[in-house]
Formats: sequence, C-alpha cells, structure tokens
Amino acid sequence: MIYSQRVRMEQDGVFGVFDRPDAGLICSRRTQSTTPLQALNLFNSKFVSDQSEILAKKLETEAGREHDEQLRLAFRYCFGRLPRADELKNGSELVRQHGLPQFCRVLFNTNEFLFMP
Amino acid sequence: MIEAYRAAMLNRRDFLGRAGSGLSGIALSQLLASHGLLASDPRRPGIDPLSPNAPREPHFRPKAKRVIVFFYSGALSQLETFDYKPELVKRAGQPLPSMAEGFKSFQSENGNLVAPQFQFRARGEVGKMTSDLLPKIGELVDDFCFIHSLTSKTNTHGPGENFMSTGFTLDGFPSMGAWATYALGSESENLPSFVALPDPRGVPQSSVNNWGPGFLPAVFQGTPFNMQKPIGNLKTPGGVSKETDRAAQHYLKYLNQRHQEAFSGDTELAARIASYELAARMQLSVPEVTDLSSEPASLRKLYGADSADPVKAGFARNCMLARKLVENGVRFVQLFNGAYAMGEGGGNWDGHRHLKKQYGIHGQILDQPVAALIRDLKARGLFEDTVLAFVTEFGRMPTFQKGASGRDHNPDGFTVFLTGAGIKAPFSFGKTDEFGHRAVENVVTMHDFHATLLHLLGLDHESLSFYHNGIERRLTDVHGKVLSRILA
Repeated sequence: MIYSQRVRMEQDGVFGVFDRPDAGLICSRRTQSTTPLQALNLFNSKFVSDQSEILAKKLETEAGREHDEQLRLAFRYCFGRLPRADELKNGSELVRQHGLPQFCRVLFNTNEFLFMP
Repeated sequence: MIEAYRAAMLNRRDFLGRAGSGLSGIALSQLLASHGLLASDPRRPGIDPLSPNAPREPHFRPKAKRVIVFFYSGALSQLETFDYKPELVKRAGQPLPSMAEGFKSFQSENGNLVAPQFQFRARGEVGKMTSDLLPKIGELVDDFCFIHSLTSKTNTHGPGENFMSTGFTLDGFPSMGAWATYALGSESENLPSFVALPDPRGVPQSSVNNWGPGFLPAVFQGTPFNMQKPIGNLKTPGGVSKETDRAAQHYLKYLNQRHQEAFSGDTELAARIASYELAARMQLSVPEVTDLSSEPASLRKLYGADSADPVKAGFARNCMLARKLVENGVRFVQLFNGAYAMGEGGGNWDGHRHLKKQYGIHGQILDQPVAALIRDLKARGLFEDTVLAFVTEFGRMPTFQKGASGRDHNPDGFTVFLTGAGIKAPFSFGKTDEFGHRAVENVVTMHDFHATLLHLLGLDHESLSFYHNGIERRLTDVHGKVLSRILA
C-alpha cells in the first residue's frame, strides 16, 4: 500500500491488524508483530476469499482443466518456483476434494508467499 | 567527472551511519553517558518473538492480577453522581463567581449555578453522600475509593478519551491496556490478553484509540468485541464446511513446515505457524466464552440481562461477558457505557441540554448491570485480585448553559472511583471547590492515575518504556506520581 485514503479513528479493515501505523503520529519505523487476529484475517476474511476465487478463475483460464497444470502455474505465480512432487500430490488431493479456490486460499496464507526470510 | 567524484564521497546518511557505529560512536556514547544524557535503565520487557503473549514477570510483587476499566463515554457529571455539594443547592440561581473573571467553558455561554438534578443521600456504613441516579452502585460505597480531584488538560471529548486511555491527548499513543499487555503478556492460552467491550449502541468518540496499540507492536492491542458484535473473521467463510476448512488448514501447515525446514532458525516464521494454531483455538474458545446460556436465570436477573430494554439487556450481557473474560485469564478488560454515533447526550453522558431527562434513561441502563458485576466478582473470589476503575473523560460545570437544561464540559475537577485489589476503601481522596468546579485539594493528574494503575499491576511507570522515534516513551510521558494514599 503506497497511497490510500484514511479515516483517522477507524482501524483499517485489512491492514489494521498488521501493524499498519494508525496515522496518529509520524512513524519512522513500523513495528512488526505476529498475532492470531492476523491469521484469522488472512484465513477467513472476505478479501482473501474473493482473491482466492479470482486466482482460481485465472488458473483455470490459463492452465486448462488439468489440476497438476493449475497447481504448477499457481506455484510459479505465488512462489516463483515449481512445486516439489509431494507438494503437488497433496495439493492435487486438496483441489480434487475441496476445489481450486481452497488451494488458492492456502497459498495466500503461506509463509513462503507472505515473507522474504 | 563530477559524478565520479560524488560517488567516491560519503553521502550524509552514510557519514552519520558510520560515525555513529565506529570507534567515534563508542566515544560519543561514553561522553553522553558520563554527562547523564543517555536514558538510564529503561526496562523494556524481553519479548520472545516465538510467543509474544507468554506471561512476563512484573517489576515487583503486584497487588492486582487484572484490571477492568469501566469507561462512561460522554463525560459523566460528578455533580449528579458522587461529588456532593450542598453549597450548590443553597446558591442555585446565583452566578458562579469565576464567571465574573471572564471564565469560559467549552460549548457556549454559562447561566447560573444549578443544584444537582438527582437527590443525594447517605449510603453505606461510611455514610457517603451519593445520588439516586445510581442507587445500586451507591449501595456498594463501602468498597469504593473515590478520587474527587482528577483533572484533564482538555475539554473536548476525543482528546479527553485519548488522555484517559493513553495518557496523551493526541491520537497515536498506546492505550493503557496495550502497555499492560506489552509488560506482562497473557495469562490465557486461548483468549486475547486485552479485550475492549464497546457499548451495544456503538463505539466511543475516540473509538479504536481507546484500545489501540499506538506505536507498540500490534500484538498488544485490545481485541474489540462484545455480545452484539463478535470478533471479526472468527468464523469460517460462508459456504466452507468444517471438513474443507480442516483440510485447508492441514495443507497450509504442511506447506509452512516444508518451507520452515529451509529456514529453521527463523523465529518469525515459526511464530506465524504458532499464530494459526492460536487462531484455531480462539475459534473454539471465543464462542464458548460468549455463550451465556449456561448462566443461571437468577444471575441474568441480577445483571438485568432479562430487561425489556434491549440496550440495558445488551449492556448487562456485556458486563456478564466481562466477568467470564477475567475468569478465563483475560488480564485487561475495558468496558464502555455510552456511544458516540447517537449524538450529544442521546446515547452517552454528554448532558448539555436535557441532562435530567437523558441521565434518567442512561442511569437505568448503567446502574444495575455494573453493581451486579461487582457483586458477582465478589461472590466468585475474583474481586480480591482484580482492580476495577470507573472513569470518564472529564466532568461537567456547576452551571447550566444559557438557554439550556444541561451542563457544559469541565476538565478542572471531576470524580472517578476505584475498587478491588489493593485499593483503600471506604475512602475519598481530593476535593473540588464549594461548587464542584475546580479541584482544590490533592489535585490529581491523569498521569498520577495511570502511574497508580501500573503500580497495582506491579509495574514501575518510570521504567516501563518503549523506544519510538528517538524517545524512550512511557504511558505517563515524563510525569506522574503513584497515589500511595489511596492504596490499601
């Protein structure tokens, strides 16, 4: 997020739990923390649900109907690499039983997607 | 040529960076230290990134394990509740003497002195004069310690709420609950350590500032929810079955662990895996703690949760929730009565124009549930190690505003009270003048009040700090004295 409109006394719906400065004071260095509310936000919020649906559609359009191909493309988009055999096998299982959007929801929640260690 | 010359030089940032870190830096810090210019002994709590909520030791043996703050939003009048001024009855209809000196209050011109709008009578064995506005709370005066001489430095609601909740009038500072959580961590494995319970009618004027983390890490912020509005995103998204959700969690854990193998020393990544586990536990424990169906009917009746008035019943349920939270290890609960959105005096204590009528309605909502919560805590043995603070942003004028039947804002002397762990009771500390306008005896600042609350939790307000933007910040800024005379 570079520029956005802010209401001072409202906590931002998505970034409020992610140490987004509250715009009350100058912030020369952001704090960082890891909280269960962040996990709930990423795992259950409408924002992430919507994005998962969008990514799933994109994968279906670009990679066709084969699950393995969809998953390979998803790994390339999200992680910049191809999946290992076991990642592919377990992922295909999830897609087969619970659908592609669920798989996308998981990728958006992984440490590999969210952090540069 | 010029470019190459420039590139070989240090820029200003590099120069300062190197100068501060090299040998010259050591010399500089020794020089500063020898002149006493470096902050001495800041006691920042050691926080394990893998478990930032782990319980941490206080500075000394605490008198209280937990805190409940009752915040009466809108500025509850001291003159209609606990600050009895017979002179105000005697001299009703006369001008307040300081008006002659050109004194001005917040909103408009003031009329003459007006007697309290509710009858006062002696209550408890101590015979403390309190009003008929809050009779059930009044019955408990023998347990209370009143501070009649608190002062604020603002007469505006938003900054006033900030000052009460964060020690600063500006936005952006950490709330007292966030400071306490930063210092002490959590006692609960499955619930947030700091919970804010907004009024059923909505949030107070300064909203999230009252429970925000300011510049402290977000992990220490208050989690807002109540019986009317659950924690955001606690529920699995619509259309996702339990089984699907579990399968997704399982695959997520698998991918994270696989990734972790490559970065085994990275505690941040491990902390994130742990946070998903705590989130999953919260998905079970929060619905459990907010389920009041197993509370006996007699208790619901005691709180007024069976009231026909939905606001009173809602507030009563929030009070019941407050008890369940502290019972389950939540350290800091901030319970609000009064909301901003309904406008001046409509859903809060901002009695500018129709004070008697509005207070009559609000008193009915507030009195019974709060008294019941105190009694319930006592019955369960939680009262002895819980400190309860009853606060508001400032007080009200002894006069009515010209052309209105209500009182304007008055930050120069108002009443709050404390009860529970470590509090001397029955006791009244400080005094306002004969009209209840200005604090004149044992004048208390907000910083003193905050220093005292931290003291009760075993924390020295002068050494609990967080380094932000070049300043070793404290809840009490550079002020504050512990009010040792109000301690048991």
